[in-house]
Amino acid sequence: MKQFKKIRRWVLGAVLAFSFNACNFLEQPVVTLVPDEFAITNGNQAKVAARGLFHRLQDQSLYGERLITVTGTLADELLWVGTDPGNRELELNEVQATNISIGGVYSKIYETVHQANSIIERVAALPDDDAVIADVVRKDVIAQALFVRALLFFHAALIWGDACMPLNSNFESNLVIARTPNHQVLLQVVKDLKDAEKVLKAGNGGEIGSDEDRCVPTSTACKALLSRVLLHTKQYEEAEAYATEVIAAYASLDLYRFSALWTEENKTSTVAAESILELYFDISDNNSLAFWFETATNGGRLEYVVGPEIARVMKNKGGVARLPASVRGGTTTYVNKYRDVQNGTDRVKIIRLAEVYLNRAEARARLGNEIGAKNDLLTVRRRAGASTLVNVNDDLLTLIYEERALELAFEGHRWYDLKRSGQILDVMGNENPDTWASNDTLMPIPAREFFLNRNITQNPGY
Amino acid sequence: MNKLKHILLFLLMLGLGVAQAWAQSTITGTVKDTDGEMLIGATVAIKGTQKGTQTDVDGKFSLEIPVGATNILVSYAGHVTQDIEIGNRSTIDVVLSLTETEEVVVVGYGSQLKKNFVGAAAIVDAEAMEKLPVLTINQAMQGQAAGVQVISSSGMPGGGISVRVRGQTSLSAGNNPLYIIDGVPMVNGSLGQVGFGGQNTSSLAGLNPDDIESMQVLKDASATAIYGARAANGVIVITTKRGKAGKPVISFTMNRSWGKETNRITMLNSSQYRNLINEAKENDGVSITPIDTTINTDWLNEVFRVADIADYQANISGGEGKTRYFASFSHRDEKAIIIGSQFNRYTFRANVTNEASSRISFGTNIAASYDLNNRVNGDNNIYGVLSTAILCPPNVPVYTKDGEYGTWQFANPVATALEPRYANTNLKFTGSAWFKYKLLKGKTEGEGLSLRTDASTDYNGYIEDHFEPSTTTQGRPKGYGVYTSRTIIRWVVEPVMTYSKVSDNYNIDAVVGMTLQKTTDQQANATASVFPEDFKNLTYMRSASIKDGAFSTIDFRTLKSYFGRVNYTLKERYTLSLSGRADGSSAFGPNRRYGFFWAAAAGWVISDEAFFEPLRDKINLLKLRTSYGLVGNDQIGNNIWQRAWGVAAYLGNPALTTVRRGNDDLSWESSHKFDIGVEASFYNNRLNVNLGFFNTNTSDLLFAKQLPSTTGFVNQAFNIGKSNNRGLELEVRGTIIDKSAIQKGGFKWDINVNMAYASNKVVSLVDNNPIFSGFSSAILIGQPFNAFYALKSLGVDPETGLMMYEDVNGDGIYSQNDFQYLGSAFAPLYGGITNTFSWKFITLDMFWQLNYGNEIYNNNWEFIQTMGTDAWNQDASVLNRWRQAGDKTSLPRAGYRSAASINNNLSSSRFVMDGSFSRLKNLALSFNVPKNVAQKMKMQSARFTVSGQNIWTITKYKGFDPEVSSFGEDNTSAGTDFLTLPQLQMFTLGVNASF
Repeated sequence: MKQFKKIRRWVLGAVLAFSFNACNFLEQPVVTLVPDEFAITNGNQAKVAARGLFHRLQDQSLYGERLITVTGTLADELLWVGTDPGNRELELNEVQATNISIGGVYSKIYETVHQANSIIERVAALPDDDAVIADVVRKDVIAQALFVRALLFFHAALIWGDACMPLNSNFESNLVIARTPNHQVLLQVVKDLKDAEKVLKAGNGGEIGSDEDRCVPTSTACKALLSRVLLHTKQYEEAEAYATEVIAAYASLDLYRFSALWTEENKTSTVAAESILELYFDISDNNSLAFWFETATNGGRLEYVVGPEIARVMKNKGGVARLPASVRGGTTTYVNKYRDVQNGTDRVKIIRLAEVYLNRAEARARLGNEIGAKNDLLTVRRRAGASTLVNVNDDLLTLIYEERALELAFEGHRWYDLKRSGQILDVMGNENPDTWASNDTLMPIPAREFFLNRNITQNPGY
Repeated sequence: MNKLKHILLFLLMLGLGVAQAWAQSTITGTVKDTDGEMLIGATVAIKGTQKGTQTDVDGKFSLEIPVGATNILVSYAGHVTQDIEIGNRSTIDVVLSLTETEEVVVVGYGSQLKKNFVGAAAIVDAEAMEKLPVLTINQAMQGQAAGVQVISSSGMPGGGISVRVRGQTSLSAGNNPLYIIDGVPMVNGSLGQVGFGGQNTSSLAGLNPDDIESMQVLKDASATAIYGARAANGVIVITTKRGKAGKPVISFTMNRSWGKETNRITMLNSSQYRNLINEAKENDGVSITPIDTTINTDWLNEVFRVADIADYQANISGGEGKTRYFASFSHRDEKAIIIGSQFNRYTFRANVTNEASSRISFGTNIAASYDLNNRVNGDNNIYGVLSTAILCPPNVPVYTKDGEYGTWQFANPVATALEPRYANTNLKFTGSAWFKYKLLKGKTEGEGLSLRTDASTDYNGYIEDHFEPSTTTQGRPKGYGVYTSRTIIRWVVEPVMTYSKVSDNYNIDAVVGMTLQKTTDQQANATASVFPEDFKNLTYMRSASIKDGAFSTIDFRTLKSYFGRVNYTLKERYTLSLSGRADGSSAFGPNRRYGFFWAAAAGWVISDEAFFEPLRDKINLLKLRTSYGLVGNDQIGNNIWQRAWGVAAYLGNPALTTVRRGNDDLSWESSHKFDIGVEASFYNNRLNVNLGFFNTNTSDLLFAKQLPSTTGFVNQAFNIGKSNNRGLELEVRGTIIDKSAIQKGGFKWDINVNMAYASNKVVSLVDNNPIFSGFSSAILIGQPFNAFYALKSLGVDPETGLMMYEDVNGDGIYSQNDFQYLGSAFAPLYGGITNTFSWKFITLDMFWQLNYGNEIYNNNWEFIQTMGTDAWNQDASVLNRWRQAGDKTSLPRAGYRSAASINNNLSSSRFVMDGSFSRLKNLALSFNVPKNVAQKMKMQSARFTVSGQNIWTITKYKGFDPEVSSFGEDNTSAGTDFLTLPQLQMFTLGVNASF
């Protein structure tokens, strides 16, 4: 019996041991992520989420590199000299639907659009209570999201032609979404930008200001971007009007030294800059542009150099101020606009005043205002230190496009401009006579997207 | 006491006079073992009484025999107890023989007699393991257990090794088995934060294989269900060495090895390189620029060296009274075959057990290891030593005339090996303490009811201390430093209650228990640049001018489980086993937090049946076993079920971004496992055969389900599909010739074969699309995991020199729509064969490893047979390229910048090759110093060994080495070879002595 008592004691002890239950033993804290339901619950969080959109634009597949290098390599602007076999496809205009760069650009565009849509919906759904979110914050956050969405739809429309255009964050419908005709996408871009423009505060016109004024969109940035997009939709009057508004808000372009745009000076707010919108990078939130453009000696990987034809034109017509700030080198010409291999803090221009002048010049030329167009062109050339003589026999539009190639080199414009001007068939046909085909003006829908959503059609030739 | 009373009463009844005749006497004597060794502390007791004594230091005893005593019992741990009639003797010398312990299988929370074990397990021969001078326990296991496939991903020391028990079942959840060492579930996987190409390190590299006493691979559901949600990939149960009763034994082992790569590819020399580029340009009408060929560097020669490995082991073990102890120390210094790479390891272990009383026992197992791995970049890494040595053109000098490193597009291979510091250290500590209390004693020692609680910890502190000076490509322009630290601490508390009863007719043993386990993973990381390079010694971040970045984070994971098992054996021949485990894991969402896993098994020892009697002299054991059950796989990231946003930065302020879509319904991967097997022993265990069949259906495969990007996410954690593994396993151990029984030192030939023939298949996926991975790998329904999926090459058109591919859909374009299944990395047949020949004092071991039927994607060739670039060098095989119409060759024409040249180099079956190999993994000749000679030298034993590892490989593979996986342990793109360091071919001298 004594033994039984002992057993009972021990069994009891064991049962106790077995059932000791640190109540929340399986509830462990997560310290690196925010659960979805707690992400956007008030105005301050909404602002943090909106800032996240610009962090997303910094992605290597977007303005952090690919939007610049992919389009540059597809065009004659950049020559691929590196190792990535995907870049070889871009260089020779023989892009496969499996191309990783194109796939990355596609994914990052739509991931960012999704975040913009989520922000728009959630911020709109927050209670109408100033303690939660002030009305001005609500409108501002939504307008910023609209701007980012418009910017990315613009790229999608230019890269793929007809493009998927999710306007909400609904999972089920976006899973099977079909492509929207190109023109309709561009009209949506115009609409979003106009909506955003009404809400966002004006830019400071290039005056001394904080990074906030140049690194997040303003109503001026909306107008500036509209002046570009409306060229693609051939709405030249409106394009000219928006450009004029932007230019009016700034002092003359002559004031700004071209070189200051590409050096450390650009980052210090005491230098009046012409960036209407540029993407901020810092040492812990950096980009790899300089890394891919710089030689191994300078710590880079040299994946791309300047295309020989662009290099030749640049050397002839670049201008004393613009040439050295844009390129350097002899037989091999290197990109000079992104130099900070060490820290990767070169800012990327999304839109700047010189482009708006050229947008207006193009709109004016299309509208038959030759004098106005020429003035704008010369404004840009004058600052570049390039020739201000225009031959009477020259086609003004051709000169404007050439000027864009020089002024906006390595800023992600060339391929789009070639397509808009219609020069692409000649230019790329000369560059890659063996591999160029007219279908190459559009990129393939990435194979994975095509597989995963059967409502998506592939572009011809892929 | 009762018996004594009865005897006394009986004696009283007989009368005192009779008693007088049996006057008390004294007997003396000695107790020895069969080797003639005196046994100290042997018990000599009078049968039927509690009186007794123990032998002294000389093995002598003296005992007073009371009246009426007729027999003495002489016992000693580990030896057969003898019952000796005293008779008239006054001196009795006893020789005790070793107990013939019935073979047991160490299973989860206990051990079972092998005869009645109804699960499927492979017992790795610890002796065979000892003969291999390898670094890690996984390497030691290679080819030693049926159904266990071990593939090193490269020849880097301390590198990752994939271990697959009965094949891969999972895509994204881990496929590594669960390692239980002395009851402690080990932290497994890579600890590093900095990428070195595909090569990961393994946290198990800190374990010294020489400390292992026994190693069992538990394979089926019955053997593993008690580990529930962690058991789907099998469980490897390792017991480390314990002391044996007797004097302390000190043992020393030293091994020294020299090695080189198993195979080397040949690259073009400078003039061949120039000719190729000129020809490529000419073919494509590109103007030729002169290429300087005055320098001709053989880069592979510059970076390979003779590996030099020294391994020292020392241990002491013994036991006195109720205490057993084992302590060991080891040091290994491994200079790898690639310059700049060196691995150093120190290990310590102390195991102590004590039986404090007949009810209480306790013990501790403590192991610590420290390793310093000076790594170099490898594999798919543009700063890799071997990768740049393969790619760097031969006309680049190692050093220029000015003494600077020669430069090209990427890193100078020698600079990238010698200049940076990649010092990675791991401090590993595993310790456990256990306490056992016998609540209820049974008739024999093993019986009764006991409560045992184990508390254990596994600590891993990994530090990466890196500096890249400006002389390296990565360190430009002014030096770059990285320092990371990662601490993973796991603690486990496991109270377990066991019950065991043996009766004439049946045995029963039962286990119930609980596990509380918590793993904390803490990481920090800092980077800095701009070092004061005028002062070469200032290479730590304290001296850096720019502190680039820093982060720290912590992650917790817990497991709370209840488990139990009952084994019932009737008449020693019919066994039924039931086991189950309820696991709760913090990694899963509240809806799916708990899982229940179970198994049932039955066994029948046919040879014990009466009707079997006539066959018993030929077949001494015939057993049938079968099991079925459900086990799980929880090796997925924490909280990936949760939809979440993450915090990044913009404009120097926090910025939220969407991170993952989450999946509330995410649940465990579960494997339904069926197993049936027959075990037989012939001719008194001279031949043992174990044949088994298994069928595993895994459902709810966890994988990142691909989503169209338009949803805002590219993927989502999802239970996407099902897989199946089935196969046959065969184990044969036998003695073919044995003359040693007749004549001591006679010739003996033992053979040990293990083989598995298996299939692996993806049964279904949530959508039927191939999932692309790696370079040319994909997950395809109906095919094994790690399938290769690309164009099918139709060879080179002799007229044009262009590659031809199969245009499956006939649209005139070679695209992903034309991709085909081209084989996989899965080897359906694999195993090992060990032959041991012994004669007198000489033993010859020959161990072959076999891997048959797998393919390798030689991505090297996709690079070094491009023949369309002057960016990097090419393989010498391109000398056979097409040059003019009519050339019949497998290699297309060279081309520089044309559509044709791109087409020539598409991913295709041209790069898929037979990866089968059979390899003489170990050939060892050892000389055992005769015992009498050893004793004269005051040694117990001594052995000298001369051996060779990987000395012969038979393969059709055309790359470096067929044992390769550039993506390390990746589960979807195994079997790709891309700039990976080959295995070592070694020559080893070894000495072992014990005192």
